[in-house]
Amino acid sequence: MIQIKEILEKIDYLQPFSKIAQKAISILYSDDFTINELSELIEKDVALTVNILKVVNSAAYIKTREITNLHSAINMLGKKTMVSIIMMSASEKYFSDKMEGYEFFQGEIWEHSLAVAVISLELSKYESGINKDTLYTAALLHDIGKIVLSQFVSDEYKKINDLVFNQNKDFISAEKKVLGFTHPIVGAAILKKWNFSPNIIEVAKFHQSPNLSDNPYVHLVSFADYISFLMGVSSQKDGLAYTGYNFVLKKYNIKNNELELIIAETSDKVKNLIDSLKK
Amino acid sequence: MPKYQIVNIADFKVSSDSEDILVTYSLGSCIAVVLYDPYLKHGAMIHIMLPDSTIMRGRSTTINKSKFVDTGIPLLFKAMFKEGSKRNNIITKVIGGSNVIDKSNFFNIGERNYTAVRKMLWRNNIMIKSEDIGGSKSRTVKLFLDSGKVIISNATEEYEV
Repeated sequence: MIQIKEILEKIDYLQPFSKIAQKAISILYSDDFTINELSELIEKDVALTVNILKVVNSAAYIKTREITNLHSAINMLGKKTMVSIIMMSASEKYFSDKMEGYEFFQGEIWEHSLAVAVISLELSKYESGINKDTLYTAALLHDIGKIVLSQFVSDEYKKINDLVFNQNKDFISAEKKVLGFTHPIVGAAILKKWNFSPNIIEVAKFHQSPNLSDNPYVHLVSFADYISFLMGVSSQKDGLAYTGYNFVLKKYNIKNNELELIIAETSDKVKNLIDSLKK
Repeated sequence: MPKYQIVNIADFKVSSDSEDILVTYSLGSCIAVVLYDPYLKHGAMIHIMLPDSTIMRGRSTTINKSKFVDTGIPLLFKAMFKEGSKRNNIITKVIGGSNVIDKSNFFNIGERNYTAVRKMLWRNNIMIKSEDIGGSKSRTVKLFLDSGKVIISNATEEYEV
């Protein structure tokens, strides 16, 4: 059986989250920045620049001519799409590799992460004093532990899968039983290594056990995670095998109708964003 | 070569091309209603998210009818009628309506969706031929237009319904 220590040692060899990406995201969420400032920063990262131009020149955006400079591209794409492209580009290695361990469809965790990020922003009204930059990033990275684990545990995953589907165990207990640890623990360790802020680390660590944390970022992302499952924007394999969301629903005093309304209203936003990135 | 036609969340598709396979992925608490006319060999599938569109009343946004049971199901049947299907020839199957595994969960959207579908079909004298409902599994549904077969798959198994 693989030990968590082994995995954490291997994290040393993984590329840390790009500094340019981190900085670009915080600039995007600060209220005063100029597009020049942002494009000067991003230009230093060639791969990122190429990705942004690729998206803006894709069929999702109506344009009369090819966009070849970052400045116009940033103007067209808008804040949230920019953040998504930056995150996707910065973590491309993990998001686009064929994930054998957890056998997700290519990009499926990424799609789910994006959905949770969009939904989290919509839910931020349930808390006061939330930094939306932090919230969005925390939501995008909440399942990073799964992405890394997927590189190490393909055999163990089959067992986890069997427990979830044939013995009706929830995913976290199945992970514990088979691996001895869980994807939230691994995720938090990675983010710590990459020097992300405490709120972002806590979200990765507690998003599936929000009752163990008093951090509002955890509660919002956990709530968003639940809604994404209800919407069907989740991984095919573990979509519903979680427990522990009731705590969050109770905290925000959500009634059935309200929950359905949130789903109805946020689903189009999620769908539009995902569609635009797929094209 | 079979052609997959993907039915997205809150979306529906109709087809009379015998090479088509209508498919919807990762049904959780959502419901897929699948219609098939074995005489004309055409079929339709909808992926519904929520039971009732009236929650959107008073909102300025236009609603996507495929998102709700009460607006989506009529849409689906009308599409079949438009293709020439007779009501009595249409085979109806219902799949999905799962819930999160947590037993204490007091929001049972999956169950509410299923109840709404049953009520809607019953009121219109439409019989459900077969169904695969509930639990906490996530399901992928395929309708083969050449045979009318409906195949469900999840992480560990595949079966006909």
